[in-house]
Amino acid sequence: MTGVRIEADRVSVHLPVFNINSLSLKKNLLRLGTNGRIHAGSKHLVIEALRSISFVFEEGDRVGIVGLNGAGKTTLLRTIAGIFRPTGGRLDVVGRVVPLLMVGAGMYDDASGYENIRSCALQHGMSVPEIEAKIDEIAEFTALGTYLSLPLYTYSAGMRMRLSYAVATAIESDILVLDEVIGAGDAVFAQTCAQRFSALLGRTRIIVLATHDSGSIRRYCNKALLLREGQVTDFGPTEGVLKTYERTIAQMA
Amino acid sequence: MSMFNDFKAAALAWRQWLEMSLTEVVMHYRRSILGPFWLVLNNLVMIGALGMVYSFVFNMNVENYMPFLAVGLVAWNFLSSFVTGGAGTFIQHASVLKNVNLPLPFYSFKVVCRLVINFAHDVFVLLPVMLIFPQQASLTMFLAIPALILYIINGVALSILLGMLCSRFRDMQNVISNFMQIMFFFTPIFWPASNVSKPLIYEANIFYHYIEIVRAPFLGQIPTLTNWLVVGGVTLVLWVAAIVVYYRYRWRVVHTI
Repeated sequence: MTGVRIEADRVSVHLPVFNINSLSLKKNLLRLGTNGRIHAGSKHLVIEALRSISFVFEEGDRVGIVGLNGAGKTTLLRTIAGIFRPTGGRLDVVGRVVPLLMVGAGMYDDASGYENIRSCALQHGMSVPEIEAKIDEIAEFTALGTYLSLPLYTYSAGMRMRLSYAVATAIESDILVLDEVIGAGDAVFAQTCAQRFSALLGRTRIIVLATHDSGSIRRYCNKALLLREGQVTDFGPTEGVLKTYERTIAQMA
Repeated sequence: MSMFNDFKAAALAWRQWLEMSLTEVVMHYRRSILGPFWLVLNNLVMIGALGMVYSFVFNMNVENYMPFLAVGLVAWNFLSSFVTGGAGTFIQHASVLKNVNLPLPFYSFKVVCRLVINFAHDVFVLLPVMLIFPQQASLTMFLAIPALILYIINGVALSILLGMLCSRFRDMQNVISNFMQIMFFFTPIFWPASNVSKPLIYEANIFYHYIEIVRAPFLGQIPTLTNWLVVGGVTLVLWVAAIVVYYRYRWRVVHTI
């Protein structure tokens, strides 16, 4: 597909919060110490996770998303992936998006590694023939060996991550959306990941990567986007944005 | 319209939800030796116990009572699994919902598919009962097929409607399971309707008509026109409600779960 791009025009995502005692929370609103904006709607609370943000990611862009906890990074990734819908503004995404946001979602503890590869792949919308064709390659990349025949409850967190990562990166995608996944796992896996990632960089048209690790952003990304309280405070070449970000952190500390 | 695209995309992904629901059934087998056969065993125990009570205590004719009870109970379990199982559709998939982009009806199809697979096990309840207490073999049995298809059509609507309702109002799941428990006693399943002097008690009960369209064919009878009309009407209302709620609130599910 040509012309793979993501264009956000004043995109807002406001998330209602039900199921809480909003009255007592309203009283405490001012004391909340998060980086997101929360306001009390007429009947319930609303988190203003993204507030009127605009940007264009074009083919070849590898964008690192930075910001403090609660700044809106994951919400932005979910919105790009089509999991959330903008409550305001317009978002155009051209291309097949594959998200890897949360490790272990929808995995079965009683199922073997192989079975979990299949069910993860199914969840990501991979078709059955596509899975059949790729399962060996995925299994090899996990480097879990005989563990793949054992039930998932015998796995460590790092091993689960290997499995999720192997599946998500095996899917043909135009746009890959990753949340805090690089850098976990042991040194050996980090190395395999780096290789895989470099291969992906060649294949995938746009990569959006949210992480707190400036190192990986410097290494893999040509652009960075800084979020603060649901707004874009800086967007451009990696180094400049990271400088701004590091300055912000220094000011806060 | 994008709403109908959701349904279409979910339907086209049938191999995905079929395999995912099969996996869940297999997982159930792996955790216990009998797996879903526990449901079969529960049904057989219940039918045996009630059969004995009714035949010894109330001196009822077991030969007619047992098939009546067995078919009624199996039909009820299938129907109520759609109500209570459907209610948990989106809550059960909360983490997946926030992790991948699949249309909501995909989850409904997956849940309904799993419940149909579970129901298929009940052949092992019906078969022995129908063999031990043979009914006059009758072509009416084939009428149970459209009835069961109607159940499944209801199941999808219930899963969307109740699934969305329960993801917003978390108490609803408990309300629904209590409601179904009560309705089990109010519906002629283990007590025959013919003994009741005031038929309005069961005729006003929607569930009675749902049970009848499956049970009557197995017992060599033809369900009444009223039975079909009530079930058809309720199905239509459920689907209209499901579509309206889906159109209005579908994004609420993932935004708030």
